[in-house]
Amino acid sequence: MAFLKNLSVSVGLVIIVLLFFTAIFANWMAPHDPIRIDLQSKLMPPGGRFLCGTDALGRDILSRIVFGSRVSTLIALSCVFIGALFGVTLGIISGFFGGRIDEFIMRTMDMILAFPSLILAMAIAASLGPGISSAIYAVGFVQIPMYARIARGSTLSVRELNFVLASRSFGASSWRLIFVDILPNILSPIIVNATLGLGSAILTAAGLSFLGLGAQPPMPEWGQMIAEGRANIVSGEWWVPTFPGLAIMATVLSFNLVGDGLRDILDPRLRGRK
Amino acid sequence: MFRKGILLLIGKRLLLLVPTLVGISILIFIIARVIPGDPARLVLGESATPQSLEAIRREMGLDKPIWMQYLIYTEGILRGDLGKSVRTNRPVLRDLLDYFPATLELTLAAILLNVIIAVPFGIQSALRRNSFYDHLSRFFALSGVSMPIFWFGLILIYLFFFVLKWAPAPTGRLGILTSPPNHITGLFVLDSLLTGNGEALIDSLKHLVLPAFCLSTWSMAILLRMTRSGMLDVLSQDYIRTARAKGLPRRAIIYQHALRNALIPLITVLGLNFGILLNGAVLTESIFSWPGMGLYVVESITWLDYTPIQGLAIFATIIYALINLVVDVLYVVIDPRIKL
Repeated sequence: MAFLKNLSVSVGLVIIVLLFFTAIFANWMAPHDPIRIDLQSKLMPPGGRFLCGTDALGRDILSRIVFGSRVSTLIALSCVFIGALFGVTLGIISGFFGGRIDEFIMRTMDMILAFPSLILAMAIAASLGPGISSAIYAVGFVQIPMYARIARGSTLSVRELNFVLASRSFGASSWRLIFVDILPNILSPIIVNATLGLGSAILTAAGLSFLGLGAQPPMPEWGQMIAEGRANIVSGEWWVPTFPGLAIMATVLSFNLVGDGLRDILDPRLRGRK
Repeated sequence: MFRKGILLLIGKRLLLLVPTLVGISILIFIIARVIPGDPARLVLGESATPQSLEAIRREMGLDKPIWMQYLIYTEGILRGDLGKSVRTNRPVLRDLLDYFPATLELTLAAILLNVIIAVPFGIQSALRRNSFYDHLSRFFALSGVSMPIFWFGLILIYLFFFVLKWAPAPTGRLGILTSPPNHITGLFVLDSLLTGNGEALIDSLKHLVLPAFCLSTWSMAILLRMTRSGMLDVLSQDYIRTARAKGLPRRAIIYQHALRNALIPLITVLGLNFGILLNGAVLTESIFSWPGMGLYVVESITWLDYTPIQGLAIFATIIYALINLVVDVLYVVIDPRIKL
């Protein structure tokens, strides 16, 4: 059983490493130019020169997927960065100071959580004007409450531990307590959820792009590519949306596997400490 | 069953709903008015003339101070004014209510699929913990939450419509040649049953299967996981050990004791899943051309009309909040240990 768990986490890690590698070295890894239009080669099935076929404008799908990994990695990291930065900050403040501040911050988080996440992200992205940065802000914003809740919960537990009380009795300032004592000790659940959040960010951003609110053509974003290939499905050119979707699925699955694995590794230790 | 305590609870929860609604209206106001550089331009589009922009600004009250704008806006919402769609030229609320039954039918079908598939699989998974069966179903659950639902819908259409020719074309709730049943609830399947319209019943069911299955994917994966972990928790409890020691048949233990107690948190999960279902509905309706609120909003976006999405955000959130309220009350009703 433990071996299987290790196997799935390993597979996930391999895929993630592959993803980052592809994102960084896309220029060298892509066989063709992802944006060059070549109507003579349009809608060719997978095989030969074009391993994943071409789309309606003759662009090589594999190359677009390779460059799309760069876009998706950028999106995922940015969204989680925004969400975690604001969320963890708010959560720690909330948990540390308590009282009215805690009430206010948590009520606001509840407000945001009251919305179905995609719909809220759609509204935000629409207000900001469709585009990839709007999608990033929107998805990042929607993730804030999750980090805030986790950070707050962990802060509440850590706050009462002996070493924190000891620091306090030595007259440590609030800032010092937060950064030196509390923050390093609440990192585990945050890291787990950040990993899972990376996958979630990719899915939501792909959804936004699919709906036209995120990445705009000709940017090779996977969700966008599925939208472009939508009409092709009913006329039999299945490869146009299928491969980008597989890319999304493999990526998100790997983040979920690693996140789950991390949770299993880190949780029992936390439980043991209490 | 309707003890005084329950009515008090419902009343209290409804009151608690008010600050939530205030909060979400503020959030949407910020998104609709404060964030966009020029809300008037957002409504009219890039090619609007300066004069029409000025006229819209006055009409939207953008020349007034922000707090006054918010009060006008809130008063509008209380009146049911969620703005006007530039595309359909009708009030957004009217449009949403028109398209709501289609979304409701799709969502109910998805929930039904969730319950009849995820719960039994989750139970079996828990009973056969760590077996190959267990790992397989957990893998499916994990895959389910990892894939883009709109992509899965396309795959389903390709497999079942294009290749196997089992499913009808994804043209919406009915085939082009079938006329809808007489309107009673707006749910075609139900209405066909109630009016005895066999043709519409079969056709609407055929069109419902694929989108409902597609929509159910995310929430089903979650429900499967929750059922499994809920059952595992319950099965390790002492009273189960007692039941076994008493010599109760396995079936009785599972269904009378374990499942009943595992069901309680499941109801909460079903409520939370509703938000996921609403998310998924927007994407699924787009793929299958299902004429619900989601498709309405998506088409508005394609026409650069962004007012409906704000209206949907408010509308969907209110429904979501009400559903969770019902779930909370059900929770208390079902579990006698929870004191009112």
